[in-house]
Amino acid sequence: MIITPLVFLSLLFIVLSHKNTILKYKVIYKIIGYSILATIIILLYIEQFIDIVSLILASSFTIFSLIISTYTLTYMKTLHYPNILEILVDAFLYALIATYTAPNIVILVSTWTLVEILGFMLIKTGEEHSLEGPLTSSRGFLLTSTATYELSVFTFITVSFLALGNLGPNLLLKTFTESISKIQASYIILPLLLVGFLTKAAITPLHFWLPSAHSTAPSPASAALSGFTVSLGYYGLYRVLNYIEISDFSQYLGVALITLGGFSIIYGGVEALSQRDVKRLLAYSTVMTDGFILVLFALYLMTRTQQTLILTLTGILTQAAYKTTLFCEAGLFEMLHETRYMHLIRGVIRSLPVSSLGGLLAVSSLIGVPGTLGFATKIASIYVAFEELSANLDILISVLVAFTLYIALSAVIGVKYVTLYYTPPTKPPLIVRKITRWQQLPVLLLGLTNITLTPLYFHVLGYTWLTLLTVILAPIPIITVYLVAYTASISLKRSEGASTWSSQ
Amino acid sequence: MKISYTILVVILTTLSSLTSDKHPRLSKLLVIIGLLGVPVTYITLRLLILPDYQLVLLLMTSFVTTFISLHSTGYYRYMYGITRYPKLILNTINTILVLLFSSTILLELLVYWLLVDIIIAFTAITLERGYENLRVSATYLVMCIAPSDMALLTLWAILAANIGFYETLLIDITKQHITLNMGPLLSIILLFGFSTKLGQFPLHSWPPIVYGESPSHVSAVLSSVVSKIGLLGYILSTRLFTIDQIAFYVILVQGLISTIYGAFAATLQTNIKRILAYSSISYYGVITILYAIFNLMNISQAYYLVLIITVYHGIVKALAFINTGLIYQVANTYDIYRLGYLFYVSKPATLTGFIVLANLISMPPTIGFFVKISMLILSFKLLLLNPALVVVLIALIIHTVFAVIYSTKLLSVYTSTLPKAPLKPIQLPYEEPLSEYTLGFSTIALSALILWILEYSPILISIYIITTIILGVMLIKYHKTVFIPEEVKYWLTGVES
Repeated sequence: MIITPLVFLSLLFIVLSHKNTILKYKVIYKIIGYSILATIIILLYIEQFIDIVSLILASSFTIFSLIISTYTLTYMKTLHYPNILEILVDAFLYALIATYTAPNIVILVSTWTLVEILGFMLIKTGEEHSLEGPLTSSRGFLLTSTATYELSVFTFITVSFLALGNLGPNLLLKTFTESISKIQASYIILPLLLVGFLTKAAITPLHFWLPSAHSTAPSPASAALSGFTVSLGYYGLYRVLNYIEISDFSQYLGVALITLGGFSIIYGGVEALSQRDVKRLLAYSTVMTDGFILVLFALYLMTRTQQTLILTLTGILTQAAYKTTLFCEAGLFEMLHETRYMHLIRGVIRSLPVSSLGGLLAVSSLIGVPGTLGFATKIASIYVAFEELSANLDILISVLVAFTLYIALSAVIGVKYVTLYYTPPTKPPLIVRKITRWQQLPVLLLGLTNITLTPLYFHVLGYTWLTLLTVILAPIPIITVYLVAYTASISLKRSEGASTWSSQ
Repeated sequence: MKISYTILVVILTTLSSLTSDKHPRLSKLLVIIGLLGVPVTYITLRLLILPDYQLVLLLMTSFVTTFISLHSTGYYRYMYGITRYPKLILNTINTILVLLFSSTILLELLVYWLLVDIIIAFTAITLERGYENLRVSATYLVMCIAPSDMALLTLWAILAANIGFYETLLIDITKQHITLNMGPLLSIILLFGFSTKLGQFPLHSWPPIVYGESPSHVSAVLSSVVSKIGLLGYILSTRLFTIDQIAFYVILVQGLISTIYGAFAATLQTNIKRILAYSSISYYGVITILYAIFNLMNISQAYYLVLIITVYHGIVKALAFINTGLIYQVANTYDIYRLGYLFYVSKPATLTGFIVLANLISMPPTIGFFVKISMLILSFKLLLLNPALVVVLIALIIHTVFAVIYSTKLLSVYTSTLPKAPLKPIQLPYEEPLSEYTLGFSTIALSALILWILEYSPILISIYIITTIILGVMLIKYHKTVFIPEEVKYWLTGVES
């Protein structure tokens, strides 16, 4: 087994990067460490320990993690966070990737628990350090998200023991790629199984822990929490429901999940529109997007086809791509203006020219500008809904209503966010410190994933038509971002000759 | 051929906008060649073969956008001293619109349609006021772009599900070779979605906001050209699919309500741009009604009338909106109650205002007269076929009568009050009167064309000739009019009389 030494090697490089004090070497060590991690994931897939779902999620999250990890260095130094933040963020990202790569239930549960603890510690760090955000957010995270997760997981383990007797432990140790006999569980146990994962995914009645936790945490941690951790809910559901036979009531479950998702879309979207704190706005838009992904997941549960599964994965990737970019950009705003309130941040396109391009790409993905990942998800979801649900007209209409709401609300939230880039006609806001172009680079790189990852993944998945469409449409976001940056950076001033007649 | 056409249009207009500050004459020449010359040449040489509706839309777009672009040069030079920035954005939109109406395969249509909406929402609307106008963009995104894009993508998804993805992208949309039978639900989704682009009833509240708050030239492009994409959507969905009859009844009802509501609401406004926006809703309603009737009763006259109204409305509304730009330039306001003296400040602006009025109240030599006449003739014909269609007649009469009311309100901006203090006429940049006159007199020239096409009775022709002569005499009179301000008399106490 070559994999065990490789794991240690990658850990070694990450530790080396922590020990080193020169920025250049730190970054180089991080690149090596995460590249080895990516190699491990690919090797595991080749050896058939993990399936395509794990491969796609884990490998793309490795790319995001590397950029977030390098971004943490400047963020920590500029805002005077304790040095432990770097170690915590790296450990958190590593544990997250390990969770997505976990070949069986036991490893999945243990690494996931580690993720929860590290997440709690990160939120606690942010709570102690920053000026904004409530002081009870880490407690809320621990008591709501972590506790319900443990409840669901232990329910699952107990059920598997009860159902299979001595076979239980064997089942838990089997890899996900092996075929298994499903457990017959009664519907009474289902709410207990679902609650943890739905809380993790922040679906409406159980969403209340998310906005405060995600806005309080340090920005790189918020990026990881919002981009990757929330999706663990769907990932866990996907894994657990593969062990449990629910075909008798999957239709009812699907309808219930679509309803919950619809409510999440409306609630998250409306709340996001009334926020002044950038990170809270982003956190509420996470709630909204989670509702959308839940509708996609419900489609998968009802139809169980390859197409809907891939659609759900695309939704998760879209969320990861634009949420990481925007949260990291919010961190840059904190560094630039020492505030996160939207009305105090204006004209970012001039003060942060490099990162704004990345941010605008992410916003165009949120709005659904053709050519971005967000557009591909939206168009593919409409297409798949028509194809899969053509026999089931009432469900099709409710799904379409949910999609329409999501498309409309995400566009409005995107427009609200775009105001940050425009140059103010009056006095510009106070700029506390200058941020160099190199420091802005990670956000641009993260922003580019919104358009470059798309064709790549559709190609891997064999969806040539979507690959082709995104490649053809790729100039659109670039032209749009260029023109928006152009308009946002100019502020037309009335010339001397302009008349100002008025009739009073 | 198509590639050379696209490249020529794009390069010429982009070069024109980049050179507009340093070489203004070259820039004007380039934009005329790029937006007007290239499409006309390609059409006359039969290098670009389009069906009739697309031909009409393309020629109207080329003509209108060229003069909007020329007009904007003068406006921005006068107001901001710089033309390169705004013209790049305006010309990009104009280019994409010209390319959109000359698209022959579905892929072109998809790309240009999606691109033009996004660029308008994020750059054109925010051109002058910056981020303050982003809430207008949000309105436009949610109430117009989202539903119409849903309809467009549904159209594409249905095609892709039936004949395969790659074949769909390269399908020739100018030919009528597919007749897929749509259910009622899909038909309504398609036509309802495209109707939002035309500001029809349940989602009718965006045009007043968007046209009212955007820069005047953008409003002109939006009102005269961009909304007509919705008509293209109607026509495409009926040519590519067999649409269920119920969907046409739905848009008929939408059109009736919008026609009456738009006409009523236009009379109640105090902002000139909002009057024009509501009047546009009314006209879009007429277009929708006639298109529904064409499909329900198979009357080809209604279809030709739709195309004529499209051209007429395109030119007149473009003229009216660029004229509001001129008003803003000389008076700094759009409010009717703060205006009323424009005749004393700018004679060219007043002449344009008169031409717009003549068109809207359907005064004879203009195209507006012939459009209204043929509209009423058609609705009487419909009444003979089906007495229930009296609602169409009522809606069209309300539309015509209220047009007189709100256009008088528009004219009051120029001549309603005498100025309290003597005003000096303002010298305007020469591009502005030039492009306004061209657009304005084209409405008179076009009515001759319509007479020729539709072979109308000699009475109409004689009316046309006589009124043209009268108009000519009036114009000469108008040209010689000199305004002499009243002398202000002072009493001995020094109090103004």
